[in-house]
Amino acid sequence: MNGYVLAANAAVWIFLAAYAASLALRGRAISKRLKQLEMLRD
Amino acid sequence: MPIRLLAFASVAALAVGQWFIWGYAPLEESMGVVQKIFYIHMPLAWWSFVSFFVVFLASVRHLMKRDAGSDILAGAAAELGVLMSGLALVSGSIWGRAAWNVWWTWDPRLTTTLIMWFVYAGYLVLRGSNMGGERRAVVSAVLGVVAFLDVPLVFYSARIWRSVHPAVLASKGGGLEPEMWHTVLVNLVAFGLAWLAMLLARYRIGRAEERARALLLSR
Repeated sequence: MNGYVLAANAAVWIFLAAYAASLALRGRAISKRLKQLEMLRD
Repeated sequence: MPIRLLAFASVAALAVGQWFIWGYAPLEESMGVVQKIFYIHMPLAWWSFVSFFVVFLASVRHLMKRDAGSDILAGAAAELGVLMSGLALVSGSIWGRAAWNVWWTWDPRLTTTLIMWFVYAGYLVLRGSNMGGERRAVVSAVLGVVAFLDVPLVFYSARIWRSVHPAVLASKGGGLEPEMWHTVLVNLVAFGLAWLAMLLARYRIGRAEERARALLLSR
């Protein structure tokens, strides 16, 4: 594969995957925190 | 549709899109394999425009109704728009190096896109500032409306001014063969699904963060 094509694809897929993974981790962390806070309130 | 299901569907659609790029679309005669960057570059640019349009609509709604949901939606869409337009700039720059032998040129389309990226990056910095809840939301909403002025300028720049950037959607067929158009459309849909999944996930996180803040304050 051409180096330019490889570089463009690598940049796009790495950043998109990193953002999606960060959303998944952040979502899991905030729902855990929310559960704790709701338990404390009850 | 649950976000997880949408995420799986978008991964499958992106995989199909890759098959269209590498197994279905013919090789372009003058640029060769480098032209295949177009199939990821164009959907990224397209969905970044849609993101900024969502920022605009949500900002207008926030200024009229002052509801937290539209503020959170505007922030989620801006984040995605900055990511996608940034990746469109990077992939376009790499393509430009291969096609025009330069990484960057101050062409109208490229320049207005870079300005748009900086404006929305500034918008995200403003949203992260410690200005205080409702005031920050209103100031962000005003910027969300004003910033959108640059988006049609980016879209039409290649048609209004003399630009080295091709205006694919402006010309009939855009000089693309039918197989190339199919590949463009499949990838537009695939990136659209991924965009929607990430937007909904980011929106849900924003909602949960707001709820957590409210619970902390009520203690």
